[in-house]
Amino acid sequence: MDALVGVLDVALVASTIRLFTPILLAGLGGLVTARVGIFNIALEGLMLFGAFFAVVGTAWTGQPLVGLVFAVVAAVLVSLIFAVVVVDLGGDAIVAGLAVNMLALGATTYLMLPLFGVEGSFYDPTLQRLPQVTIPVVGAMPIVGSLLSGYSILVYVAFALVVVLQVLLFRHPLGIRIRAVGEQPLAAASVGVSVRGLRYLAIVVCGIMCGLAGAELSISLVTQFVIGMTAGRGFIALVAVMFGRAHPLGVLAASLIFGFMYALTLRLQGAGSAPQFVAMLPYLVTIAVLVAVAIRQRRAQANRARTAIDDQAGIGPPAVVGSAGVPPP
Amino acid sequence: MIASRSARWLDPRRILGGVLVPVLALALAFLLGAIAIVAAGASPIEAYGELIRGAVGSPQNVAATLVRSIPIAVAGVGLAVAFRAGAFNLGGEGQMILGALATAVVAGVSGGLPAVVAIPLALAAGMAAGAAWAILPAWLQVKVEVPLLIITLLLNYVAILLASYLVTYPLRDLTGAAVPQTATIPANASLPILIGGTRLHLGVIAVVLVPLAVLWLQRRTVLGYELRMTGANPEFAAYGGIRTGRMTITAMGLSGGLCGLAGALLVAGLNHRFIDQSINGGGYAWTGFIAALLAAANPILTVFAGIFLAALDVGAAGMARNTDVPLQLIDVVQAAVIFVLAVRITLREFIARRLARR
Repeated sequence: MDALVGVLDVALVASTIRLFTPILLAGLGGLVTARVGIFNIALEGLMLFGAFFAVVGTAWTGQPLVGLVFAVVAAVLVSLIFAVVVVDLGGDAIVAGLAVNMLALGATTYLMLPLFGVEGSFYDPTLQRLPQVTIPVVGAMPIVGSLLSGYSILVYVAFALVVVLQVLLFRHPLGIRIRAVGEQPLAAASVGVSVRGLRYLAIVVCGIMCGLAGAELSISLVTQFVIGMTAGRGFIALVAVMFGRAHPLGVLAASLIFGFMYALTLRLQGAGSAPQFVAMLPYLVTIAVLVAVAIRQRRAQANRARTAIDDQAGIGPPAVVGSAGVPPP
Repeated sequence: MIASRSARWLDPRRILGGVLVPVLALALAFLLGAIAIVAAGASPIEAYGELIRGAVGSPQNVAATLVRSIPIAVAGVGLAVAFRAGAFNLGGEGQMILGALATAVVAGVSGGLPAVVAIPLALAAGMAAGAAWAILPAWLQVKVEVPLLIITLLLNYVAILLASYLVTYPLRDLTGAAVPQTATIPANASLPILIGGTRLHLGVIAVVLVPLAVLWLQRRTVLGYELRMTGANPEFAAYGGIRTGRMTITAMGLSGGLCGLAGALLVAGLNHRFIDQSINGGGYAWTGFIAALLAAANPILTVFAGIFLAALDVGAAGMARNTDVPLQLIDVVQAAVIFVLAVRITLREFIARRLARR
């Protein structure tokens, strides 16, 4: 019996790691745009585009890696529309982001019939999954093996990206420029940093990440496309960015919490609880996290006012992350 | 105040900026739609022809358009109320769902009451449920500055699942179809049909009364002034003694109440029961959101935008029946409209500059 519980818990951790990867990837994308001062609510739609075109590419060529490329290209192309509207035309990022989300839902539903000849959801048993990586020696070990090995290639990519972004943002001149664009665009421009160029770069990087996140959903976790299958994961990733204070390691930690909730949801659904209540769990926990973030920010503000010590470099995310009551145009 | 307003209305720059931008948005969107139609292997002229015929081609189709416009316009005006007060309410869908469910429940138990009591009671229940679901995030925003934008979005998913649970288990009509739904509401709690042979119901008067009531509130009452000031300039409003936190909660209560009413009218007038996934699946609240955005949160214009968007939806259904173009074309067109509206301020400045140079 004890052994069974042990195995189950290892399975829960492994399930957490699988389910948290899309949120982490999208969250890292949202982090990069938050760092250049753009509140990117479009994560949800970009992920959905990624998920859809991953299946399109895989179904057409039989190659999941081609599907992955499709996903990234589609998400980047849509990101570029977003970039033109927000960076060059001075459009409202929130309204444009909502437009991306609606476009994603509408366009993927629209394209299902001509591309797959079905409505609602597309599933083909011959659809190949993304390669699952088995680490040579470690993979053979009893518990450690199932914890560290056997995940989709994107799981390892996501972890690597956390490290890359952490180093890039805080140890590399490019990262300093990116942060400067988010915190003081005028000052950054005055010393010759291309605000426009870096904003474009950030939005494109975000598109890549969201494309990967969508592909992980549709050709790795499952091998099918369902209308609206992201189901708010993009918004949850956005909350992960806030909770993680736009730090790669912070976003990693926040995504782990949400991934665990998704894993728990799966486990409880298997146990026969009312599926709707179980499915609510990730959203409720996300709302609870949002409230916790808000309370923490309030305390921090109060503390700052009391001690009058300047904000340490790199602690606070750019001001946009807290932008709540933004009036529409 | 009134005089200066009418003078500003006559300003050609303002008229051009206010009209040109939505028209340009729609034109660009339909151009994109034409590309999407070609991509689906059909003729844009034929498809758009079918769309217009489907929307207004016969009295029945006009009635169908009006019926669909009721929840869209009412929810749109509701969202516009919040936008004008600076509260970005993106939770219209959840508020509408819970409003509809509350109406279905209250109407369901009001079998013995006369219609003049049962109908207002059922609608009030829907408004109260919608308002409550909107006040919760507003309170969180005011108390601890939780961003309203995201929490209202997340609450939509919670509302969908909550309603789905209730209608699948405790409230389910066991004699009913495979889709989880409540029992049919009694006739005395249903809104009467106005024109035989159509589904046009009494709820259509809300399309006239709700925007007028909101306009009166905004322009002729102290509360309306305070709400508008809170939206236009919160610091100034607070400096002038307006309790802006209370205004945010009030605006969200009104907004959620109207979204709840939109759901209530859908149940009491059209569906006569709450059907699982029917409101989020129908896209009513988000179409209302687009209407409010298209009309720059003006309550009267929001209604016209709502009727127009409803006509597109109904027309698209006709188009999908008669051509190979899928219904969701209209979602793509609407998303394109919002893209252009996102740059509305830039566009308006551009137009104003052009005119000033002349």
